Amino acid sequence: MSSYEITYVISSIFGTYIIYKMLKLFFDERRTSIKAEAFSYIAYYFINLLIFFTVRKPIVLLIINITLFFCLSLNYRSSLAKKIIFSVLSFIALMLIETLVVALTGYFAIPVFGYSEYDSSLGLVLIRILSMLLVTILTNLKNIKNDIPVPNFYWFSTIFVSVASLYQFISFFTHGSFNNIEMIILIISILGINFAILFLYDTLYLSFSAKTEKILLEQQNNAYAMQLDIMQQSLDSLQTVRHDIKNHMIVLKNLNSAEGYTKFDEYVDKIISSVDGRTLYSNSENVIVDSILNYKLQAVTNMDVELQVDVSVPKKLSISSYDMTIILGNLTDNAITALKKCSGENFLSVKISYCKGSILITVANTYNGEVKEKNGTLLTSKEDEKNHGIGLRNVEEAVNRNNGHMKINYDDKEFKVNIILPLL
Amino acid sequence: MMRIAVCDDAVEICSEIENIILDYDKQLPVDVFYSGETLINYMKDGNRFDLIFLDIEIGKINGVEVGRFIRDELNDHITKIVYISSKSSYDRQLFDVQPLNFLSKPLDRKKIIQNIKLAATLLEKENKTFSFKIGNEIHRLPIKEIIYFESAGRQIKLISTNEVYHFYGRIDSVAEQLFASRFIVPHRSYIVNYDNIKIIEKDSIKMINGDIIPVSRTKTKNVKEMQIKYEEDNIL
Repeated sequence: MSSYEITYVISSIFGTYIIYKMLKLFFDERRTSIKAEAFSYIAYYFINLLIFFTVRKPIVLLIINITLFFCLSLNYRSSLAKKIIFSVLSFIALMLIETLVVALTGYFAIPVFGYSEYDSSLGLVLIRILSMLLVTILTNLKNIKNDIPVPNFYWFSTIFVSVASLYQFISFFTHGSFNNIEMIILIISILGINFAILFLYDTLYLSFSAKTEKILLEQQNNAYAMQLDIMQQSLDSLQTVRHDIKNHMIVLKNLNSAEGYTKFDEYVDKIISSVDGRTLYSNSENVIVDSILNYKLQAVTNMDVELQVDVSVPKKLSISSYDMTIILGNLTDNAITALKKCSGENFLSVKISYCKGSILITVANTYNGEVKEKNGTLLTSKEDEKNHGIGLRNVEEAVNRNNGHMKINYDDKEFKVNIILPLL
Repeated sequence: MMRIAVCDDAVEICSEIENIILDYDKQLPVDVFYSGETLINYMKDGNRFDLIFLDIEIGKINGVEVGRFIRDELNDHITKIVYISSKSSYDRQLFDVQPLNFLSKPLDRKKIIQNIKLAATLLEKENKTFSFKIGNEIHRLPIKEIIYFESAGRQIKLISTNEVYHFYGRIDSVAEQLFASRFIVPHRSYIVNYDNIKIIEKDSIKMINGDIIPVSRTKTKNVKEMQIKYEEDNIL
């Protein structure tokens, strides 16, 4: 076996892994078991070698390779069209790199139907490392698109290590002379470094996505905690009412038998007025809307704020209570926090109405006129920026989940959020 | 002059509203009905109102049915209905009538007047006319009668509540003329009267006459923004 053939056998292991990463880029969900998947890649590796040692006609290699890519894509769940497109696309991407390297190393003219005469070990290693760089960059772009923030520094380091290793490899190759064994060790170590760094990057990515997931989970927990609070609150008030009713009934019973009708009548009036005194801001019978508003708006009762609540919505809404809690909870929280910070004549208005298949939520309040803005998004003016900055962002996410739209208007006195949410 | 009706089986509620209205503007003509049937019969004879204060819980025929009769039987989507109720929870079917607002008892004088003012502003907008030329003849159509425009080649198709007109023109110049009115553009070949929409769905809009207008993907955000804008006008 020539040194080129040995290089090919070794670097193909790496090449197979690159193809695995490439396909993983396009297909998310596995259809077969891990074992079957691993086996298919191992099979690919050996078929690839077999073809390499038997046929060396580029056109045959091309057809066989695309077919093999397609077979590998059968491991994943997606439409047939997507499988065909992406196996061809992956092949073209890797092919382009190959052509580029071939051109750079001076073997530009490959006769398509003739025999491949290309046999530079250096070129082969270059091809693998450049392919790896491409896959890393593409993976990073995909991660960015998926909103999983891997800091630039990390993936820059990844790329830096492989580029540096590539440079060292080239200088060794051009300045030194090695025997076959030294050559093989050099190739294995250079590919090994790159393999390891790619692997490390993946691990890094996983830990970052776990972190993001954890933050999401925390937010979810907060929303549920808020809901539980609301439920507890209404349970408490229900118990008070029950307790009161019992006492009232006892008094009424005594009055009825002893003191006569006038006292009885007076007492009933007193109960009626006390029942009226218990303010319910929202009484739409939409449990989730009512409980959030009645709970949150209690905080305003003791403040010098003109409060207007107008809720006219159908009893049942198709928006999940989880999203409704996030939207109304955060909006009222924000409004109340803003109101606490300003003096003078203040108002808070919460209006929810139904219109043409959607509901419109409008929360407007006076505020001290301080708004922090960065790149078109509003930032919190609360002290603890880290924890509170997510309020409006969560609202926006919940709105988007429901195909809705949010619009924020403010001048130096009034801050207003309008949200439209389509119902199913 | 705006014509107002009040329909409630409780005489004292009727006179309360009537007094508030007359106190606000002596000139406003107010008709009072003590049952849904009398209001329906009166309207069957061809009488129309601009604004009706309608109690939900009245006698044999309730407010929902009266509302439905006005919308579906009389095919009148222009009359503004303000529902009055002692409850503040509403069934979904009430919303199909597209009421202007809901008022809960005990009645708030301020809110009644706000509703009259709102109805007046909306009416003023709807009574503006849209003009177009067919041959040498200039037609004028009140905005409220327009359901939508559709561009068809070099012609524009105007679908109104009563008729379909064809005239030569460009959809852009139609949009320009409607600039100050409540219209939305859900698709590059359509201009739709917001007040004659029944329901806005994810990729289509259903009009009061049952026609379905497509919403193109690039316009969905714009449609929602316009909806917020127009609905904001309706908030008291």
